[in-house]
Amino acid sequence: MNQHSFYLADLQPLRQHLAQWGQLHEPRFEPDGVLRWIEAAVEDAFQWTDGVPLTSLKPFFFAERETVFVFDGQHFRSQLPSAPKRVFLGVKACDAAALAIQDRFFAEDSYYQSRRQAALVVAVDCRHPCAKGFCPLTQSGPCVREGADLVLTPAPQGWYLQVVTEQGQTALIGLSLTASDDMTVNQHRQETEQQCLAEFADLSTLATGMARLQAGQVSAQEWETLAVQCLSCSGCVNLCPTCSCFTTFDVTHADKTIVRERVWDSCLYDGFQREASDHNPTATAGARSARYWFHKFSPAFIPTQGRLGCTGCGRCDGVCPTIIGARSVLTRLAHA
Amino acid sequence: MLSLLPEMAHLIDRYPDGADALHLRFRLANGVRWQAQSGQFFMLSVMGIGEAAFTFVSLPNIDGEFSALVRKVGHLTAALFELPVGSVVGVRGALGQAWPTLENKSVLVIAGGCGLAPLASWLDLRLQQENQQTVLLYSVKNNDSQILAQERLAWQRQDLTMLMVEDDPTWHSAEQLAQATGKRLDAALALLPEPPQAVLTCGPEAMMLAVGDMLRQRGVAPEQIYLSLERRMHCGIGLCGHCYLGSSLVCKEGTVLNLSRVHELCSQQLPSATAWQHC
Amino acid sequence: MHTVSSICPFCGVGCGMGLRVEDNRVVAVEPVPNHPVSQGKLCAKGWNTAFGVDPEQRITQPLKRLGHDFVPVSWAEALDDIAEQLRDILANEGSQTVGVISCARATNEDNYALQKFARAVLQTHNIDHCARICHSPSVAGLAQTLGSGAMTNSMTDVDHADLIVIWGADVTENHAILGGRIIQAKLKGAKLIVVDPRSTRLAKLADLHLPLHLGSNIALANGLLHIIFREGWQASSFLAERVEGLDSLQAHVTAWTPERVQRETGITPELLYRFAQMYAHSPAAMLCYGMGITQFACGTNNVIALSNLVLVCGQIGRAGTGINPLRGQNNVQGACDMGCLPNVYSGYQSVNDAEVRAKFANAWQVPQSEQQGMTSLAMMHAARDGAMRAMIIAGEDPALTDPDQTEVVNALKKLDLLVVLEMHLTATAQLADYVLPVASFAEKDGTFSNCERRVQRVRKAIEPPNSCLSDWQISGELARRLGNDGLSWQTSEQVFSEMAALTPIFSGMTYDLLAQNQGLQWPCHDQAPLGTPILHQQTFPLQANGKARVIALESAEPAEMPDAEYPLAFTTQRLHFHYGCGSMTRCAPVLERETPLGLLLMNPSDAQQYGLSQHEPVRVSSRRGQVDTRVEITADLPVGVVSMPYHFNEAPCNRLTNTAQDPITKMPELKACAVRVERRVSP
Repeated sequence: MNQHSFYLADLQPLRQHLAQWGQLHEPRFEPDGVLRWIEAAVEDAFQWTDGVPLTSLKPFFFAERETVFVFDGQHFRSQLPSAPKRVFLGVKACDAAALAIQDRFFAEDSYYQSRRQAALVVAVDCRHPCAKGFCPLTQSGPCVREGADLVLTPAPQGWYLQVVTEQGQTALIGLSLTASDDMTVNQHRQETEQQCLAEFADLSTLATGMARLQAGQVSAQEWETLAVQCLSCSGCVNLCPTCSCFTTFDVTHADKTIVRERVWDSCLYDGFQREASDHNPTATAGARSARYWFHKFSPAFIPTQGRLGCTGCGRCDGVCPTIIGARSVLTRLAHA
Repeated sequence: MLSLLPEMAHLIDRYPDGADALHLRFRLANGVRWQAQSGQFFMLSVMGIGEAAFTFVSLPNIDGEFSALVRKVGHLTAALFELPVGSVVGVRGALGQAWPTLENKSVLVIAGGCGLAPLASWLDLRLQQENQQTVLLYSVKNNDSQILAQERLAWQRQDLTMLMVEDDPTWHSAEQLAQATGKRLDAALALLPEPPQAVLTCGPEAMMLAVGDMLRQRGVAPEQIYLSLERRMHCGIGLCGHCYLGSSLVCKEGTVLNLSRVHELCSQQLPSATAWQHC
Repeated sequence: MHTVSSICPFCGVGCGMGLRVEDNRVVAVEPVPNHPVSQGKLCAKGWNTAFGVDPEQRITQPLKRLGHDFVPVSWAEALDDIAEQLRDILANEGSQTVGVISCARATNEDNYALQKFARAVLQTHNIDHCARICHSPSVAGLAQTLGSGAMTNSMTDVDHADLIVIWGADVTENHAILGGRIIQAKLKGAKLIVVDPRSTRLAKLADLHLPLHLGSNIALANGLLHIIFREGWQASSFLAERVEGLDSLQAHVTAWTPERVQRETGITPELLYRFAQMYAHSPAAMLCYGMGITQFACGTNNVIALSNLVLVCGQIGRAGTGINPLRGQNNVQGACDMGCLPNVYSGYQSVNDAEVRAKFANAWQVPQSEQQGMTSLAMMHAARDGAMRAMIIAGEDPALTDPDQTEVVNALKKLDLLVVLEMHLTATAQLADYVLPVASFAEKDGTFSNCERRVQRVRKAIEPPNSCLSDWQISGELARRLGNDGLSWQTSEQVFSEMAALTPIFSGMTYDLLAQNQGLQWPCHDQAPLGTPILHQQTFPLQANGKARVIALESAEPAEMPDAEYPLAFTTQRLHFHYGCGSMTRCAPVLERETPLGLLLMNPSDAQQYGLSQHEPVRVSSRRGQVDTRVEITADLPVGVVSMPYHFNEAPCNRLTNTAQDPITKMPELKACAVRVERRVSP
């Protein structure tokens, strides 16, 4: 009975319906020219935007900084965030794949889940390559694979909509939709992806670099040389949609209550693994860079993570001041 | 759901242990009780300062009391040294994987410095069983820094075969230390009729890895050599990411890991595990 | 949550930064992809900005000293008290006994207001700021050779340079995003030469690293010129058209033979030759320099030496070239531009020029003093000697960042009245009679000027905590109480407009134009309505004939060289993770965690000689004082030289540094003195 695929002549009825479910968030170019997730008004038509917004969905669920609990001198009280219901419409395949990683990783984290369970994710297949992404390499696009409740695909006229999760199914109740044949839609999505893949620039150099890394062929010396350029600014970590590390710290307020906060952390810092005894298992910048890219590209994480750690969104390349983002690193490793 | 929220506990006793260590005893409040096994650890919060991982020296009893050993190495431990008895602390536990019980297997226990602390409760339980072949090799930098003197006395009274050695302060080079370690190992092995069926070791990471290699050379299978790894931890429950080793997290898969797995994790990133001088 | 577009409050690069605001709190920051300077990047300091402005860590109420403690008081009480005391001191002791230190990190509007307060209310030219101990030699040196002391080119020129020379600057640590652009340029084929005693990150990536002896910059520059003249590599037609003084310089440098240069600098003739060859022949060579040039007793001359080299090779006035002092703070350029210097008004209009004084007297309706103003160091000495009675220090921490720290603390304690405008309880604030809480950059509108003279809009994202005010508002409040209503602006834009009307190089700027153009680089006026990315393209402002000047210089050694008693050379440096006195960056947990255990950096060979292993406790002593810390062994330091970062109040390296001064700018020789190091029994 559960109809899986639908056809939409126009997105507006879907948007209007979902806006009842929660606040619509869509990628938009703001007046300063930057593409961001904004709270969209239903009256403003949906705009297709090429590429990904400046930040991924990560900060919406895994907060950059939040209170974990409060201590009043005697008692410890959890402080879970209150999360309004939100609909994220226009998530690209890469960011949806990253969300799936974070969903798995934070499955038992109540702070993440408070926010996540109040969100509906509507992803969109990409028809053409974006400027920065390399999702074919990391098998995270251009077609949406996982991480979404609902998936939209541009159709010859209008859109196809596919339901992935129960939450997605439930969210559609009350909306009258034109059913479509699953096989037809699946085929259409596959063809769309094939066409898109054909348009991608040659990624074989990146593939070579990734293969060397995965085969354990990159020497410590190569990493140390590369890591001379790493400032540990951690822009890559901040913008990477799959990075999930945090640290905790206590803030004592004027009224003597003490709040434990958790904030994003980065394994590129020397202090990340450094113990109080001063022993540091990753004492060199090269060791830390190696480990970072290992986590992004090694199949060793697939059993627990479900897929490679990198989803090919390209944000690290844009934010790295010293040109050692994913593309740069893989290119460099390919030429060793 | 995993919890970052501590339970309330009180510091109920403290006494010096060795020249620079402090023995701290805690009691869980509010009727909370923990079941813990030897080798597990707990997270201790001194509010306003932070939280860190400590191994159980004595496991939680029916009164919810347990203890840990602390050396002053950073802000948190410095605060613990000043903490008055009766203070409220936050605790989360019991976390991590335990030492294998190894019943009816001959076991060589190798402890370096404060590494004896996570092994103490294992030895307590071991010595309560009959006819278990156990040898303890305990090495310290100098006699002042030895810990758990009372416990060791009790073990010796229970007929634990123990060899205690002290570092020579003139040893500076890695070769000198390695040579000495080899000699001590052989002396400890000589106290067993055959190579041990399992080895438990805890101490500085370099020591454990070196000892592990030497034992392998002397015929002990790496799957039977167990290490307790120390890592910086901010959650202890597999979320914060700090305790990584290869594709694993030490707080969840360890802190007790066998040497074979440790080597596997160390070499995941690089073809050779010795490419970097640490693990 | 929404984003407010602003500018990073840390270094002089002036990266675009979006402040993520929720519930009147800056919860995070984001980079600005289309920003002309930062191009979508931020450094570790920038990324951690939110912690630095966190209200929890700040002073949010005026504080009054009562014995050893501070008690919170109302603004009315604090301002009335301060005004009354100032009135008394002015009446009884005179205008020369009061002084203002303004803030190189506050906005242009704050700085303009503070210097107007000094000149129009206190009627003194005793106004200065930390540029004194930073780039005052750049201002003074380039004023003598080019006629203008600012970065001649823009950061984007890095992309157009064939060769980039970094002389005495650790760009990736303090101007990290610019450092990144330099690395990017290198990857695209530009060549890189680094002159630095230390093996900095850029030195490791450079085509050529010249690890010269500490403080031997003039000898090196003279040596390069010697070779350039000898080989006939000078830019003859450029020189003929645009430069004076060539003959005497050329004659002068004949004495700096490669052999002599090797003795004085430690640089081999081969390396010297290569540098000279590369620099002279490059179609576009860009020279950037920093504290490793300025913070010396011969700092002004060091700057002139570089200027000589640049002019002789004609590497100026075109894309990808220039002489580029890297101004350290987010608004130190602005603080200078606004006239927070004893000898100039805004826009470098001279205090000694009667017409200029008359113009400001007329605009402000207050007669302008003809008495010379004091530099910050002169003010400290005057305080020490009892001649300075009251000081207002805005957002600077001389008790930590000035040389000869013990003397500074003593001097400040002697003042009858010390008013400190601050966000955090710094070492200096702790000595104050009154601490007035100020708004952070996220809590006010205004402008910052980055090192390339780009004036950029800073926007208010959140309300200031409790009752914090901006420095310009505090100036207005005090002025009113002292009988002057001319500082009672209602908006920062009004302050800016008043300033622009009185300052030719800013006269073409308005808030709207700044917003539309993502900032404008001065000079910005009728002839250059969209600002000036590259200075000196046709003429130099030095003199009427439009020519620049080269000046012959003697080489010099640091005032205090190592000797038997103090056998190691001591220098100071920055770390990537911290900023200035650390008051903001040390609020961020991940940055504080990066603070090294050992703050005395030492070469392994020296460490071995002293029997020191990593992180052993040590005592470092100089003739001024001593500091206890731990040793950090690193091969980045040359043998015989030790270094300390200056960010950490628990190891204040300025207890050790020398106050020997550059005679022209009074710049203290922070970069070189002599110390001894001893192992210390464990704390």
